Amino acid sequence: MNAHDQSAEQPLVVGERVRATPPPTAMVIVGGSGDLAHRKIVPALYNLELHRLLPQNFQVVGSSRTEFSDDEYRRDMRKAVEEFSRTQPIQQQVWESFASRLHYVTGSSTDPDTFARVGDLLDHFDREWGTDGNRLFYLSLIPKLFPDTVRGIGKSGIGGRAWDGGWSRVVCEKPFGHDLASARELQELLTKVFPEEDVFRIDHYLGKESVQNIIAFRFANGIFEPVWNHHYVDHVQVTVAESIGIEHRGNFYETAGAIRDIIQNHALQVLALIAMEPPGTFEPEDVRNEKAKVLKALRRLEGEAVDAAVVRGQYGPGWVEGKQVPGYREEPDVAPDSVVETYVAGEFLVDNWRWAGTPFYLRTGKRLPKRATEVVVQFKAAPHLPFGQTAQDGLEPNALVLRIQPDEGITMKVGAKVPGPSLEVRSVNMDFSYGTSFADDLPDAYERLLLDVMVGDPTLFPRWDSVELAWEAVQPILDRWASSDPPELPNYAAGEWGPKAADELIARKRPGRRWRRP
Amino acid sequence: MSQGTALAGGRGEPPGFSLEPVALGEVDQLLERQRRQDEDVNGVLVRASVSNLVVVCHDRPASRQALAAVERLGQRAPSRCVVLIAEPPAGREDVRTWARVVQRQTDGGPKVVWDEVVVQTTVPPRHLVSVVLPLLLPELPVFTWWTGTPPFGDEVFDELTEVSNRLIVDSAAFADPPADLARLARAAAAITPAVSDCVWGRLTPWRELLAAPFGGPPLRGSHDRIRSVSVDAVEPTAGLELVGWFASRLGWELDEVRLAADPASDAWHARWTTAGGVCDTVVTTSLGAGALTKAALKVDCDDGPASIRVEAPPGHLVATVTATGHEPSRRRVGLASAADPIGLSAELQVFGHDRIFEEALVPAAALAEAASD
Repeated sequence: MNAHDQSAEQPLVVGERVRATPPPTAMVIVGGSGDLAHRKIVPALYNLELHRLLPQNFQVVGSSRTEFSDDEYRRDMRKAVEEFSRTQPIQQQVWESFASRLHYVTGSSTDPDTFARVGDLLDHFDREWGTDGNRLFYLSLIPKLFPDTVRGIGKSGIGGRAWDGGWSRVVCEKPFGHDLASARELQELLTKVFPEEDVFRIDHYLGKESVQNIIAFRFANGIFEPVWNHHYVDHVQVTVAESIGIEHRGNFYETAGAIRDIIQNHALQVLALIAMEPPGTFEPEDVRNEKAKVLKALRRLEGEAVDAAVVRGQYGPGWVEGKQVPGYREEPDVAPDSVVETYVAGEFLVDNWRWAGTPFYLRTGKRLPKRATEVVVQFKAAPHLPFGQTAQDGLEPNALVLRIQPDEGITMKVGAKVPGPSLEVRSVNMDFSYGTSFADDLPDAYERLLLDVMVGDPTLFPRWDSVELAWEAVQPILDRWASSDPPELPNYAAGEWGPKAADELIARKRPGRRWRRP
Repeated sequence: MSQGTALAGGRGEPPGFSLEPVALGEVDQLLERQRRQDEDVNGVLVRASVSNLVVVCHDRPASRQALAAVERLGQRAPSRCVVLIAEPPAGREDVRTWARVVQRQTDGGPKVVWDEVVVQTTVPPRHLVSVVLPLLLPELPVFTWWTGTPPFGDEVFDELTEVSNRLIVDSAAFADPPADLARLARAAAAITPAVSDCVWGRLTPWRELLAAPFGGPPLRGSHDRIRSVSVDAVEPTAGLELVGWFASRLGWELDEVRLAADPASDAWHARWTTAGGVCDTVVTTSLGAGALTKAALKVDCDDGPASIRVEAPPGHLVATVTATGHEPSRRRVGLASAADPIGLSAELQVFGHDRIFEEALVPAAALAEAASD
C-alpha cells in the first residue's frame, strides 16, 4: 500500500501539514551490530522518530553474531546515535521511546535457528504491537553472506514469497554483485525468494536531496530543456572526488576498485538522471523506464576501445589537506604490488537522438585534493564573438554546474562586461547555494530511502534492468583490464587531480576540453 | 558592518540599524552599499531571497518582538523582511525607514544573508500599500505576518492583503481569541490570498500523533467511532481548531454547543453527529506552555473501547494508546524547533491555500460563535 492509498483510508492524514506515515512495520536489520547499522541505519531511524515520521506501530529487531541482550544492543546503538546522528544532542525522552522498540537476536545469518527466533519475535510484534505482518528485511551484510541469508529468509517462511501475512520487502546495499555474472546470480537468487517489486537496491546517492534536485532542476525549469541536447551541449562531466583514502577498507577495496565502487552505480545513475527524457509522470516506473533507456543506449566499449576511452590510476604517497598520507600500496590490507584502481576517468557515449556525439566524461578517485561531487554541463561556444580577440580573452563558453556535495547548489558560468570604458568581456559565475535559500536541516539520504521502502515507493531505487545495464557497460572494461597490462602504478600522487592521462583523455577529441576544477 | 551589531540609537532606532534613517527610495542602494562593505571584510555575499515577508505591527514594542522572531527565523527561511510600524495618522504624514544587511553563519553550514527594512509611518492606512510596494523584491511571493489582531474588514486590511500571497496571523495573540477566530474565518472566505494561523502549525505534531494510531491495528477503520474528544488548551483557538479539524475531516455535523456552567472558566462543550453515532467534545483552557497540554480521544474499536491520549511534558509529546486486548503503547516524539517557537518558518513554506486548515476553520468558528450567541 502506498502513501496515497493510506491517506484515502485515513481521512485524518491528508493535506500539506500532517505527513502520511508508513503503514505498521517490523524491520529486521540483518547485520544489526555492523558498521552500517551504527553509522547510518539506526541514526536514520532515530531521526525519523524524532520528526514523527515512523508509524505508530513500528518495531526493529537487529540480528548478528555479536552477543547482545536487548538492553546491551540499545546501549550500543545509543552510542552510535550520539556519534552519528545528524541532530544533536540526542533527546533523551525520544531516545527512550525509540529504544523501547529496538530488539536483538544473536545468531548467524546463515543459521536456520536464527531465522526461527527472529520469526517468533516478528509474530509477537504482530500480535502485541500491531505491526500487521509487514516485514522489512535490511541486508546490512558483506556480499558473500547475501545468498545464504536470502535463502534462510525464504526457507524459514518469515518473509519473501512464502509470507502472506502482510507485505515483505528486502533492502540490499551496494555492491549488487561483483561483476555482471555474479549480479545476475544474485538477482536470480533474490527473485526466487522475493518478487522484483519487493527488492529495494539502495544507492544512497539517489536519496540525497541534491541528487533529487537534478530532477527538479531539469523538469521544473522550462528554459533548459530546449538546449539540453547535442546541438548545444559540448560535453558533460560527472565528478565524484574524495579526499579520503580507503579508510581501513583495504580488504573490500582490493576486490572492488573505483569502477565497481563508484562508476557502476553512483556515477552511472547520475548520468542517467542528466541524460534521461522527461518522464510522463513521476510514478516510479515512468522514471525508472526513462533511466533504463539511457543506460541501454550507452555505447559498449570493447577491446582496444577501452584503452582509448578509459583511464585508470592509483595514488601514491602525497599530501592532502595539509597532511602527509601514504600511497594506496602502503595502506593496511592492500597488496604491496596491487594494481587495483583508485581512480577512473572514462568517456561514455549515449547513442540516442538527443545525445549523439556528445561525450559524457565520468571520473572518480580517492585522495584527490578535495571532496566534491558535481555535474558540469559544458555548452558549446557562441557561434560568433564580435568583441575582438583581446577583449574576450577571459571568456569561456557557458557552463552549468550542478553541485551535489558538499556545497549543494548551482553555478552558471556566463559572459559579462568588465566595468570600464572598453568593451571587454570575461566569464563570471552566477551562484545559487541550496543552503542559503533552504536553510532547513536536510534529511540524511537513508532517512528518505528507509521511509520510501516502508511506503513501498521504489522511484529512488535502481531497478534490476538498470543495474544489469550498468554492469553491461562496465564489464567489458573489467574484462579488458583483466587481460592487459596495467599502466605503471601509482600514477598520481595523493593530493593531485588524477593521472595526466585523464587530462589527455578529455582533450583527445577536442583540444581545449579540460576537467573543471571543483 | 552589520553582523547583528547593536547600535544603540540615541533616538530609539531599531537595534542593529544605521543611526540615520534612509529615504524610502534609497533603501536598495543602501543595502547594496552595505553588502559591498561587508564583502570587503568577509568575501562575496550571496543574498538569500526566497520570499518577501511583510510584518505589520501596531507599535514599536511589537516591532521589536517581531524583529527578534525574524532574527531567529532568518537562518531557516531567509527573506526580504519589511517591518511596518503603522502608527495612528498624525498631523504630518511621516515615513522613517531603516535598513540593514544581516549575515548569519549556521553551525558548519553556509553563511545566510538577508535584508531587513523597518518602516515607521503615520501615513493614512489606505495609503500604506504605497509604502510597502517599493520595498518588495520583484516577483517573489509576499507573506504578510500581521501581529496582534488584524483589523478585519478595514480598508488597510483589505489593501495590504490584496498585495499579499499569504496572510499569516497568530490567533494566540488575538485580543478576543474566540470572537476574532470567527472573524478570521469570515475573512478567509472573503479574501483572495491564502490565510494561515501559526497556532495551526503548532498543532501539527498533535494532529500527527492523534492521527497515527488510526493507521494500524487495533484502531484502523474506527475513526467514525470516536465517542469523545477532550482538549485542554493553553491557547483557546488551538483547542477550537483541533476540534474543527476532526469535524471537517470526518464530516461531523454540529448539534449542540454550550459553555461551561462556571462563566469564569472558558470551556466549550459540543455534541456532534458523526457517521457512526455521536461524539461529545470539550475544550477547556488552562495555564501552561505551547498550544495544548492534553488531548484525549475515546474510541469504540471492534475489540472494545480504546483511547488515545497525547500530553505535553516539557520539550516533547507523549502519545499513549490503550485498547482492549493490547498492551498500552507509549511513544515520545520531539517538538518544534526551539529556534522558532511561533512556528513562522512552517508558514513560510506553504505557498498555496492550506485547504485542510481553511476547512477546519469553519466548524471551529461555528463552535466559537455558537457559544458566544
